Amino acid sequence: MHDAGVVRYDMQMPHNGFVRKLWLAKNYPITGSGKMMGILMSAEDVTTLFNPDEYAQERIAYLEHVIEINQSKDEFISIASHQLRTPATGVKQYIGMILEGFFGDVTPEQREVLLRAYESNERQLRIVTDLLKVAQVDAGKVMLHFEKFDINTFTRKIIRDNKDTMKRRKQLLKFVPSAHAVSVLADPETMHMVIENILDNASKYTDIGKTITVEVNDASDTVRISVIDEGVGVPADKVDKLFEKFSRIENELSTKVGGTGLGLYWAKKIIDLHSGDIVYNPNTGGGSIFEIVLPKQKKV
Amino acid sequence: MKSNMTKKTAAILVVEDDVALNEAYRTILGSVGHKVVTAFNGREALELLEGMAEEPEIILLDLRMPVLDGVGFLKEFKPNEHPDVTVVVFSNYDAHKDIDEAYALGVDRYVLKARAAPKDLLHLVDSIIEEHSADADNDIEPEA
Repeated sequence: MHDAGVVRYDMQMPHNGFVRKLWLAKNYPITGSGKMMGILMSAEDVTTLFNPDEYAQERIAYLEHVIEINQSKDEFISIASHQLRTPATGVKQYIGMILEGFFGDVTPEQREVLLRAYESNERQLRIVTDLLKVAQVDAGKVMLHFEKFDINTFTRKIIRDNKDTMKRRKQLLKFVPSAHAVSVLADPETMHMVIENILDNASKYTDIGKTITVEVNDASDTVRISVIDEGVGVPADKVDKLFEKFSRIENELSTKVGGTGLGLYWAKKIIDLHSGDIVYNPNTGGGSIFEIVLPKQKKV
Repeated sequence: MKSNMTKKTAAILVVEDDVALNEAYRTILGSVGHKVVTAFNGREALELLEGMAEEPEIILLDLRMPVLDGVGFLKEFKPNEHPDVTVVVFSNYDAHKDIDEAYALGVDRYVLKARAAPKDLLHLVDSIIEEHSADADNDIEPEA
């Protein structure tokens, strides 16, 4: 085998906002009988061989530019979300008034249609709220007010507040506290939202008639809050995507649930800010286990 | 729903720049006999208050408004100097910063507008009226 000669040329190519210098080589390998086997092409990125300083400066300028774009993106999302909330709040008031009988009786058929419109609008408000929360956490604008409290009492209250919702879905909500009170240093407001978010997911991705168990376990220097469901679970090859932004994992209930793909991303970010972690494990009997791991003392 | 929701009524000033919401709140509160006056920004609200013979018992205040926003209104109105007026911030901004600032300026309650359905608004007003009558022990004249 020999070749018909190598053709080389230089090329400049825009990539991620700055110019890369490439060396390209094109070769035509030919068999012993003189038949051309195909075209062989190779490309080598040689940007750094030329003016490495200039390259570094370009890269810094580029990164600064990216940070700036990100900031204006976060700001844009925040403003847009707030602006979107106002008209949706108006829809809520007007449909709410009709549903609440302000303008006289509505027929059952009308009520059903109005309820759908109302629910649809509620969903839009939830999406806007999620977008806002994510924009705030991405921009580093979430203010946490750390307090010391007993996680058992705290979790029990959340369970109590959510029991009726679960009951309506004909699901049983069980709570298994740790043997003794465990104090954590955390921001109660966001922590409440994180636990509720995971609980809500567990319920939505679990069929009626099943049980959801919340356990508090006291390990030596951490405390673990586990939400265990008997639901559809997460396929092994999708686990990596669980906490990514806008990740939606397809399963038999996902269309019905209609989530935003932002809840778990936000929850993970919040737990990161607590120097903790959220871990997913499959439930051996089918379903999911989401475990919030919190340090007992806030690491500085 | 409409009947017997509220046993007592109150004079309420709604400060909201969104026309649809302003009108909605007027309709909701008016439906059970509350006396509602509305303004579209903080400046208008202050002017209305100046011309009133009697202060309203409740002010529902939006934060982001043109001309004079909610915070600007609070700084001039000074809720702490009006102990008989309950100021409720009715906003779609729920950042800690906004909430803290409003409370620091003497606001009594902070409600996320998007969460409050018409019946929630009526319950809120009822509970404030109840608090007022418990405080002052003199009932507000019911409006027919």
